[in-house]
Amino acid sequence: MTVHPRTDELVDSIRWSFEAFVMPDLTDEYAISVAHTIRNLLQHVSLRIQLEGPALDEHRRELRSVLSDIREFAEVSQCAALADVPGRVNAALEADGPDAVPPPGVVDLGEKVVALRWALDGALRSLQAAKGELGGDERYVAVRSAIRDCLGRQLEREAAWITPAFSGRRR
Amino acid sequence: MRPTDPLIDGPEAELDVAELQRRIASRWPHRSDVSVVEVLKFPRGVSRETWFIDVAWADGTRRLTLRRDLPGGANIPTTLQFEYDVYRLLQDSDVPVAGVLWFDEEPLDGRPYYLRELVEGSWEIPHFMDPDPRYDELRIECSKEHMRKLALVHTCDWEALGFGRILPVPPSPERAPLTALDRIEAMLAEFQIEAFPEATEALEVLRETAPSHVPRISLLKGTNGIGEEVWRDGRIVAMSDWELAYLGDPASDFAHIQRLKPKVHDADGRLVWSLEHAIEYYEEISGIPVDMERVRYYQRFDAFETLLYTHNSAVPLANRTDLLVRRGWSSTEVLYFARRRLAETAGIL
Repeated sequence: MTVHPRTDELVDSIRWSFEAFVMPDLTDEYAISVAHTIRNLLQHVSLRIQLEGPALDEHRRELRSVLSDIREFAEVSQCAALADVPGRVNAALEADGPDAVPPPGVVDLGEKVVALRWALDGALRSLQAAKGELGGDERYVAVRSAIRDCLGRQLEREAAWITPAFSGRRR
Repeated sequence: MRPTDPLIDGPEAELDVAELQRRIASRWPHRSDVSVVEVLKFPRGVSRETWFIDVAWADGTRRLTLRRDLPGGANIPTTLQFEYDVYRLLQDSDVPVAGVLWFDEEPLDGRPYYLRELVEGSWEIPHFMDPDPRYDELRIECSKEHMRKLALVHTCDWEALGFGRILPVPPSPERAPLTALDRIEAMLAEFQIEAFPEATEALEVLRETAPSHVPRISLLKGTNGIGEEVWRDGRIVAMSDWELAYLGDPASDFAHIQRLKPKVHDADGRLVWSLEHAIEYYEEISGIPVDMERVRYYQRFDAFETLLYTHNSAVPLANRTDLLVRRGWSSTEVLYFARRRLAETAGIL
C-alpha cells in the first residue's frame, strides 16, 4: 500500500481546489451558501481525520473506567434503583470487548464509544433515580463527579476539531 | 431499473413545476390558463425547503410560498402538517401570518407540501446591524414592534383557536416548564441514534431549577426575531417559522430571540434600550410579567431544544436517506455547542 497522499492530505487538496476553482465561479445564491458549508465541513473532516482516533480511544478507556466505578458502587450500595445497573454495565463492557490488536479503525472505535455512552446514559439515569436515597453518600457524589469529569474531558477534546474548522462565512 | 442511491444520485432538490402547475390548476377550476411562471428556491433556512412560486392565469397573478420537507425529512422533528396547522389556526387571530391555501398529502417529488400566500417583505431590516448611531432610533422602534407582535402571540386565545388539539397542554402554568422538557425528551427518544449523557445531566438540573412562578400558559412562537419574521417598512407584516411553537411560559420566547436584542446608548453613554427595556415595554402592553431569571432559565433550556433538532439532522446522514451538506454542519458544529451549553448547565464545564 501507499500512505501518501494520506486522507487528510486529500481532503485538504479537495478543499483547496474547491475554494480556488469552483467557489469563485458560483453565482447562484443557494449554491454559494451550500459551498460555504462544504468548505467548513471539509476543514472539520480534515481535523477529525487527524485528531479523532486518539480522542475516541481515550474517551473509550475513560468510559470503561467510569462504568466500572459505577458498577462497583451499585453493587455495594444495595439500592433498589441501582439493582440492574451491574448487569447492564457488564453487558456493555463485554460487548465492547477487549482492546483489539490491531486497534479498530475510527469508524469502529466510534461505534464502540456510542455503545458505551448508551450504557453510561442508562446508568446515569438509574443514579439520578437513586439520588433521594443515596445523594448524601460520598461514594455516590464521587461516582457522579467521575461521570461529569469524563464527559467534560471529551467535550474539550472535541473542541479541537470544531472551533478551528468553522471559521469564516457559514452559509 | 437501478434503485435511487443518494450517494450516487444526490438529493432530489428540484421542483416538478409542471406537476405543481397541474395541481394548482385543478384547485382553481374557475381560473383559466393557470401557469407557474417562475420558481425560486429560498437559499436561507435549514429546517425545510422553501420555494417562491409566481402563478399567473388569464386575468390575474399571485405569489405563493411552497413549503416541504427536505428529501430525507425535515431538519426539525415537528411535522410539516404541524407547521401548516399552526398557520391555519392563526388565520382567525390578530397575529399576522401568511394566508394558507392547502396542504397536499399527495407527494410531489416524493414529498407532501403546502402552499401559503407570499407576503411581500424581507427577513432583513435594512441598517439594523449598522452601528452608526443614526440608526439607534430604528433599532429601538423595531424592538418595540417585535414586542408588540410577541404580545399578540402571547395573549391570543389559544384554546379557542384550537391549539390544544395539536400541542400538549400543561396541566397548570407552574407545570409548563416540565411539560416542555418532557415533550422534548419524548421527541428526542423517537429518533435518537446515540446517547448524550451531558444532556441527561443537564435535564436533572433543568427539572430541579424549573421556575414555579409562571403567570400563564401562552402560545409561544419558538424562534423569533430577525430571520424569523417578514418585515416591511419597519413593521412585522407576517410572523414566520412556527415549527418550534408550543404552549408554555411566555418568558421562553425571550430566550429564543434571534439578533433582535439591540443595546442602545445615548450621547452620554447611558443605556437607553436593551432586552430588559424591551421586556418592560412588553409587560406594559401585554400585562404579562416576565423576569430575567425565567428568561435565563429558558436560555439554558434552549440548548436542549437545539440538541433535539441538530441531532435530528444527523439521522438521514447515518441512514443515507438524505446527504444534504447542511445536515452535516447542523449536526456537528451546532450540536457540539448545544452539548457544551448543556454541560455548563450541569456544572460539567
